[in-house]
Amino acid sequence: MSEEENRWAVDLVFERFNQFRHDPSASGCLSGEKSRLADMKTIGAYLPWLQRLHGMFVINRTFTGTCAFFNGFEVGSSRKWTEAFAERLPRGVAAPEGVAWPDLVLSAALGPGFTWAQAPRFTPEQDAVACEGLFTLLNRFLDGSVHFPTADHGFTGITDSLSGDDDVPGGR
Amino acid sequence: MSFICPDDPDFRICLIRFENLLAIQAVAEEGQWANRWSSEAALRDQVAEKDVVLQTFLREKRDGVVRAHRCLVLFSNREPLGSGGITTLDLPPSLMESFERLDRDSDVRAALLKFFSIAGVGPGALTMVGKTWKGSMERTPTVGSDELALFARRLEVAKRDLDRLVPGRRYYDVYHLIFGIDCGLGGESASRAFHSWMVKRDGSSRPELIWAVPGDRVVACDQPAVA
Repeated sequence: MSEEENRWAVDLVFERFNQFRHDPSASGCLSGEKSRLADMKTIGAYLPWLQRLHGMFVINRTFTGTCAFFNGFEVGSSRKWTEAFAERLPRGVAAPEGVAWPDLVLSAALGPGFTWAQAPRFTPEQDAVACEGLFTLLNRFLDGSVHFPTADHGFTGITDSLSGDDDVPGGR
Repeated sequence: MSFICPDDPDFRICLIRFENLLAIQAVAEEGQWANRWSSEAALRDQVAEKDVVLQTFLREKRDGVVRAHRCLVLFSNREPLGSGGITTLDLPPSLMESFERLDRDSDVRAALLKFFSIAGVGPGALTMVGKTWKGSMERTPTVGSDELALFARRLEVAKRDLDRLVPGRRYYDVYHLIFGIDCGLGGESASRAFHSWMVKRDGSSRPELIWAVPGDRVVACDQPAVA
């Protein structure tokens, strides 16, 4: 999808939703076919499902898509947790205050220097490692673990082959 | 997703019993696969209790491993009697491999492939049908006005903060953000209702693509500059 197509498609979604919202036929009673996840309003309740059925929630199973889902979940549930999550993530010396939680996750999972801005160019392998790291860190956060490992974090695989350059080696 | 060619090892045409179709549906429901009936009841409402023919035509790979096969499903309609339908269904490779294949030699394979080809595009008694939303399309999965208003408010909040929540504003990420909002609200009902409304509005014969697969939607929608 080109940038122009992307911009058009994003605008279209919001425009269509506004039309949907003001269409009298769109409101009424509930269908009675609510999701089995209907009562799971906390990220802790959702996380096992999300991990197990990652591709169902995040159809391309990318790190950026997963982060977008989590950010959306926080907005939807009105239960702020990403800030607390970020506070507990290991923070590199160079990381400024207020750095986004996905950046900190990448730093912990892949190594210093990897950023959220690079993530759209990740290969599927890099996405997989980053998502695995995210799930692991999030589970530890939800379990109440105070200290995350800062070195030898166990997310092996492609980590050693990556550097912290601006461009993602082998990325798309 | 990649197309499966007749010479590929995972190309197969199978005749399965109606009970097998129910088993596939159960697995698809459990896994919340994209291509499935909305429920077993919806399946039973549409499909006659007769044998069904499957043909693999797409594979979804992740990390080099086939995660799912998408199949054409040729079935007898429950009504009107004597008519048939063809649709698509997702299933895991292990399940597909458990079915006995009909296309054991190349001649039979070619004949059956031709048959599916005609069935898929011909104007005869067979029609490509949507199924995931069949039941809910008829009942219109509308959403309560309070719930819709809340969803709209949260969406507005997200839209104002879009650059922080989804840097780059990539379509797939925006889709996942909105889906996340709906899940965070405790449902998926607002986005499902939105999906259904979009299907009706745009009249696509491939409803599952309208909202769930936005990349394809760009091709399928009514924007001539992009199509």
